[in-house]
Amino acid sequence: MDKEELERLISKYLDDELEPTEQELLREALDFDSEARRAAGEWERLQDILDEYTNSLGEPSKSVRQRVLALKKPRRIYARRLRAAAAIAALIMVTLAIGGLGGRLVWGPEAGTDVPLVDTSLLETAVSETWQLMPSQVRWVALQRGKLQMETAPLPLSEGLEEMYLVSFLVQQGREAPRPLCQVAVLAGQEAQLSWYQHGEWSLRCRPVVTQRPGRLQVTISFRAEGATTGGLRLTSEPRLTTDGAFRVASSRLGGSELHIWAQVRARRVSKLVEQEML
Amino acid sequence: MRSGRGGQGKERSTDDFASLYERYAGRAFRYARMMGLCESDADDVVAESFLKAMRARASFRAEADLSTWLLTIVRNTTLNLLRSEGRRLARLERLAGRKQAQPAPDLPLEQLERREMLGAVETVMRKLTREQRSALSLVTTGGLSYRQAAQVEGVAEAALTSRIYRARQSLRQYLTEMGMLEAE
Repeated sequence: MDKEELERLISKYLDDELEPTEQELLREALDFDSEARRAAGEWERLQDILDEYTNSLGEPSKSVRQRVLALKKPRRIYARRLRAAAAIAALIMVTLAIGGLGGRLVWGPEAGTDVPLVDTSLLETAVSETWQLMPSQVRWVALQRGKLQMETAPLPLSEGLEEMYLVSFLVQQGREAPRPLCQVAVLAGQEAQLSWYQHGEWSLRCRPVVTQRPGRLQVTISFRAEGATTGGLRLTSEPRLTTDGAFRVASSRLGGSELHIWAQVRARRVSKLVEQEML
Repeated sequence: MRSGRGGQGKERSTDDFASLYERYAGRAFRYARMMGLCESDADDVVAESFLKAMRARASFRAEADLSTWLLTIVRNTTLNLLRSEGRRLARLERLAGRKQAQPAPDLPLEQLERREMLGAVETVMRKLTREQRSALSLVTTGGLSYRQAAQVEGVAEAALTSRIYRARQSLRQYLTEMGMLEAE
């Protein structure tokens, strides 16, 4: 048996892949040839090193496990959180209906307060990362009454991952912390469906469009808020940012209680597959 | 935890998927690492592979071998990632950066030797061809037989045997030259 054939058999032996006839050949070689025994020892040592190397490669991180095992959940989480948001919205409607009859409407920047925003990520799951765009990263422009545009500074895009943007509207009564009102998910380069929300005597319509220019994002929100009685909510005349980068888009004073609507954009990275699962 | 209720197809399916993950995630991760991916990229490969597996589970034929099917997905996902030249270069840069940033370890001699040896294996691994590395990895980290690994690679069993032999031979040669390999 030549050296190469011997080594090939030893290599197969280490993986327990020898045929019966090959086993016999190798056994004979090892019995009678000291050089074959030395070579076998060297190959076995190599196998030990390979095993040790393999063991040193580690395990996937716990976050991957969470991501993978959460795969069945997004739709259910979304539905559950949507129901929770609807319940909050209903509560706001009732509050407005009770306290808002005959109220006087005001609009303008003077009533704005900088307060931390609550987490509104209705779609948040363990399968992706969500981050809040900081005020320094965004520039809100009121194009005209009812049409806003937000443009981001260049964003670090992650290859292999897709960006999805969550345009949230929040309602704030008085000095309470803003509560989530509604949220629209839109993929880069696409137009979200028209969303329409009826809240007591006023309604809110929005249609965010996300366009992605090289390295930066532009969100245009066509927005309409109107009320049945005293003119409804009025759009703010100038951008008003909170420290969380939200923009106040409408205000009203109903029954002595100030009410503001804020818009906020969150970015979220998801893999294409997860994204298809969720939308 | 299992519900223990009979007829809960969806829950059983979720449990099955969880057990599939527990069984194969480690192998998938080590395969990706052995193919030269850094830990975070290997994490991505695992997540992406299981996503694909979940979406494609309807197409899985019962008579097919589960480990072969899953590791084929892992292999293809890994190769797709490796084919992305930008990622590869970035990865190498990160690797170089990390190595430079590592402080001199203050470890017992035995651990230092072990670390040095593992580092040498990793260096040598990168010198193997992609086909050789994949074949060797499927057998050593994936736990596949030669026949199964040949299916994953889409080659004849003899060709796979040859790849693994060549890979081991190269490893042995490199490690011997580096003074890391002596028969005990």
